[in-house]
Amino acid sequence: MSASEDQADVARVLAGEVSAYEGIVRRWQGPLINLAYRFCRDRGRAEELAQEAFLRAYRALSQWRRDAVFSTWLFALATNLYRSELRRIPARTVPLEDVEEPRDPRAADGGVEDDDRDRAVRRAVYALPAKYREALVLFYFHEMDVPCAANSLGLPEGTVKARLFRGRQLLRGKLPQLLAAPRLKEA
Amino acid sequence: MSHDEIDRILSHEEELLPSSGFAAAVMDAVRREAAVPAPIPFPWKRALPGLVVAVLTLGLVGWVFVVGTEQVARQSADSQLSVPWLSTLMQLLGLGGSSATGWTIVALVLAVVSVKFSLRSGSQRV
Repeated sequence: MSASEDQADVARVLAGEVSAYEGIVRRWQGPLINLAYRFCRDRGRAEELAQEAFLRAYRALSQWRRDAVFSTWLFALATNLYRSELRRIPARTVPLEDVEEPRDPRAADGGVEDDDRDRAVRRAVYALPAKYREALVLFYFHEMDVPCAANSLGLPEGTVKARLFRGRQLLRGKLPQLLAAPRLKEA
Repeated sequence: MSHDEIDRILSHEEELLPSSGFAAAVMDAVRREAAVPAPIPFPWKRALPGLVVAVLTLGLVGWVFVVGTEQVARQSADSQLSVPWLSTLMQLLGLGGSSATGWTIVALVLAVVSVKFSLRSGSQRV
């Protein structure tokens, strides 16, 4: 995705050519919907949130300063919206204490049921307190790039690192057996 | 294990594809937004003189109140309230009675003036 394309489209929109915004929407609809989905785990709501994010970005387009890449600004705006919307109407999650490990993380043949384990870890992530969950969600969404996650959250990198560390610690504490199980299938 | 395993699991999230009408729906909403006329800016130029007068009036009222309170405190319990300009105003109006009547008249006049002023400002085209 080209930053210059974004810049050109923004300039055209600001000059009054509303249809140029469609280029921005088409380029960023996937990432914004996926980011929203990671926050709410509901496809319909993710699209609603992403639509609202695009609308807000359109309204605030003149506030984008060219010193940051357009996508960084867009993700920060969207993240801010998703966080505040999820505080207003929280996604349905299970409290961390109620998250259970699969009863038998190893299959009868000694292999590990990867799908069950992955689902249990994701459930545990969504049961974390918001500040740790948000840091983890953004970190993995941005392909484990701490500066990008920090930009989106509007927090210092050190704070994000600390929250990631604590979030993982909570996960390991909740799912010790699960995360300790050797992945025999890959062996 | 530990970090690596968590990283492996959480890095591989299924990718959602936007529904077919998503971009069109967003653009419809954007066009609706663009069609809405820009909000009318607050008419500071027009409002500024009124605001200045309001602030000055408030200051004057405050000052009169403070001066009046000091005088009342100084006077004995049975003496008349004597804010000089208020006594003059009451004499001009032919009301030699209590100080409360004078203050009520002043308050009513201020209220009428402020209502008239705001109605007049509001009725003018921006």
